[in-house]
Amino acid sequence: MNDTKFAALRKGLLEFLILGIVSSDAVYAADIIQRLEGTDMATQEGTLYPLLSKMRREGLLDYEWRESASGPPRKYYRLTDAGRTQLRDFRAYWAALTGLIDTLGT
Amino acid sequence: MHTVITVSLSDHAQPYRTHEDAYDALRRYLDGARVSLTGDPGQAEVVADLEQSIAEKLAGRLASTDRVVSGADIDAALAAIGPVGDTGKDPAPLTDRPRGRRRLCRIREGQEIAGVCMGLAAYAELRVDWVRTIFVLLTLVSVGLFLIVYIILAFWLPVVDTRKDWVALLDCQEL
Repeated sequence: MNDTKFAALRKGLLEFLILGIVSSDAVYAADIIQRLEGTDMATQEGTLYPLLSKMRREGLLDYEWRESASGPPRKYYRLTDAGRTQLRDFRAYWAALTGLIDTLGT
Repeated sequence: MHTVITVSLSDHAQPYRTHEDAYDALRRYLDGARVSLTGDPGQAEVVADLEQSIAEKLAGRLASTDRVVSGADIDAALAAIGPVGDTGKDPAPLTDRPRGRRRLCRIREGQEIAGVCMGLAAYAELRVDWVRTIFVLLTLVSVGLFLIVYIILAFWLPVVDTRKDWVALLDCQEL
């Protein structure tokens, strides 16, 4: 695996994967980490929090505080309408892109 | 002898008692996070998120709340959270930067009086002892006139906490 080349690609894609994960249910940061754990897209909180903060400021995500059994309330993220639109656009774009990649070359 | 420091993380009701090395490691991590998020409007939010996450990981590790947090506990929690920001990479060395973008500041870290010489040394990439020696010599030769220059600089220049902050300041100005 060509790590440095693919690292940039993974970094750019992470945001869209988060949109996908958050689309199914309101999730907490640790849920996102856990969902990606063991995959090529595995990430850590140090990377995730700045990204979640940016996506929230862009209006793609929103969060609410929910009580937890252990410790203080946690932030549960969910998609906004803008986030849902972006996820749909991304999926369409990705399908078009993979179609193009598959048809080029041998 | 052990020093035990009480730390309150984010909104956690339960304060943690930590050994001094654990406290230092925690402090370094959070300061580093603040620096790498310099210029990010989400800085305060992200640091609060990190604090809460650290607190949760510690709660999971400590069987009882009476136990004092050790350096190993903090290291494990911070390793799970990972470096903050996109890459966690250190900023490029100063020598690679265009000179025009630099801005003269006072730097508190290592300051003798007001940090003017620390700032000048960082700006000119000279050793601070040299800058101080030159300043003292100029003050003597000019019969105190350069002391006034120092005082004016001390009032006029913006101040940053550490040399690392000063480097981070260059980074966000380049964007």
